[in-house]
Amino acid sequence: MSYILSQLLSDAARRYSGKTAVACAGKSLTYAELDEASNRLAHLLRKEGVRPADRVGIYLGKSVETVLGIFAILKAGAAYVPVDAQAPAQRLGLILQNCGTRHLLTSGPKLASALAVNPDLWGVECAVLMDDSAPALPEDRRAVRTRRRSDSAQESSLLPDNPAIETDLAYILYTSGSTGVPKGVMITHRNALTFIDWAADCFGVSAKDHLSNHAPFHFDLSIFDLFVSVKTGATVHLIPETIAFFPADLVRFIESNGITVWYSVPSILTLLLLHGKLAPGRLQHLRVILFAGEVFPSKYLRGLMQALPEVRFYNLYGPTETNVCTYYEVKHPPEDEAPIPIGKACANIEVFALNENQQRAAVGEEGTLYARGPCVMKGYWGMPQRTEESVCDWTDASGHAERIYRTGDLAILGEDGNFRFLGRRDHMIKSRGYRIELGEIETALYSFPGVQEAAVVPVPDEQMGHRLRAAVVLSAGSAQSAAELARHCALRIPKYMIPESIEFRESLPKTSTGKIDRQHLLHEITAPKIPRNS
Amino acid sequence: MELENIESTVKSFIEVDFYDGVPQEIDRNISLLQTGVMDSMGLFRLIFFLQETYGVKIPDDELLAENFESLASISSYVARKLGKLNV
Repeated sequence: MSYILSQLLSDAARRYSGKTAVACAGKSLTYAELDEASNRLAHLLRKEGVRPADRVGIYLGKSVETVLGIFAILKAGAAYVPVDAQAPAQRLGLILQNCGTRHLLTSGPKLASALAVNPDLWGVECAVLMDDSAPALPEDRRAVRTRRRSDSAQESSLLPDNPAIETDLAYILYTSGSTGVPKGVMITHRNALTFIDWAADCFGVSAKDHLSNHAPFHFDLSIFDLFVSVKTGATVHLIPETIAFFPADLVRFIESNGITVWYSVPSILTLLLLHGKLAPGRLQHLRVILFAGEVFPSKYLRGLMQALPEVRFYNLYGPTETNVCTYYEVKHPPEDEAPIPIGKACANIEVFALNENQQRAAVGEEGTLYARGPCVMKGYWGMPQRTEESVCDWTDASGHAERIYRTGDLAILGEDGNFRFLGRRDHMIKSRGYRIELGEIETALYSFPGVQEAAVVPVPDEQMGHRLRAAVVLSAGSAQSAAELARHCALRIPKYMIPESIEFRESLPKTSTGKIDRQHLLHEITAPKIPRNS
Repeated sequence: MELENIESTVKSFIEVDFYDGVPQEIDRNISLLQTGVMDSMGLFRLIFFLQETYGVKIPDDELLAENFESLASISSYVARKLGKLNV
């Protein structure tokens, strides 16, 4: 039995040594190769000073080497911290500093661009170049040592001693934080395996399967792709960023790799439906489609199910803090436009809604959804107060205290035993599956000189979830342009968070308590007027 | 229409759409999505823009990475489309 993630690979290397474990853009590694190369790299990381329980950053796009790096970090007893490879370097810096990362796996070009922003690399002592490149580094890179992955060739191919146990951290995934600093969700091996074991079993994944990996590694959908495949001896095919949004390329990818299990956000599936020329008979090997991250509009789900009648469809639900905690099999194409349920709890998890009196909500009564069990994260790295706000004490039926996670999502339990998602009370939204705290964008706007008030409102959009629009009040005498402000944001937050339009106003509408009236602002902003870029 | 003209039009679209008109240095051969010069939403706005600006129709089976990967591939794709229109 595996109690830490790296054991999944050691086991698979024994059972499926010659089978392809991971493939990307024409390169692939067998289980034996992945196991041995990650052992060698783990030894190199140890020699370079990685200690058990360290956090090791990953600033890399999709490649077989990235997967190798993830396993090497785990085998060294450390936790991996994947950073959005397309995010601006300043955000990389916030994350590396937040969890005290001393080692970073990256590539030559990415390292050069990060050093150009911060020659100290935010305290990172050693960078390992997984692409084996020799970048032209600036003279003033000060203390950062660089090693190449090929330097690990002389290291031992045996598994290093690893003191990690299941309650230690396996990875930290950063999500948008309302105060402007991303929150590092700390996931233990037990947390991850609770999901992986359930998912492998529930979807009957075996060594015959070919899984796709569409989600980037800093997105928790990737946990299914990477670790369920390794647990079962299946093959995971990483979708290169270059084709990730081209429907015809994706359809060809699924067909040529014989993908049997697909997992992505609904907006990508909508893209396949609308532009991928799907029809019965296409994607013949595909047997399961899983989707999560946002509400799938019923009309597109219906179209997809009609186009792929042989495929089984599952709606998975859960914040990064618990990974997936409920699931629902969509057995028939939805008949109306009502959103499909998020379903029932996964194995070894209890979910329930509490009403305003902190009592369990009755069937048909709205409440805030909570999750209980080994899926619940350890907390947010370095943010005990934030952790207390969402992981709270709870007394179970026998009177014993335990920690449960407050999702912040509003839900209602139906007569059929399935939960339905209703929305949120706070300012977190979803856009194309990305989880966005409007406060993080507003913090970026406020950090610009002369900005007196700022509000970002989400305009609902059928295909994308939401579009972001900003309204800003400048202090008297400021003469900033929307262009300068947008550029300021682009240095601080990822592209998917940058408002599509920024408009300047004399004032923002207020509620009776003096808060910015977002409902009113949303109404004003969506009233027809001339857009910025026309 | 000349290739360079198309390329500079596409580049200005990206600058206006993504960088609020601030000129950027963009290597004509790098992948716009992989390097984060553009994201998926920007890509679809660009495709809409190309159809409007050049009066070309981009069918689903030409919506391929090889046609839209970089400034160079986008402009040569559009030029090929326009070449066909003129015949």
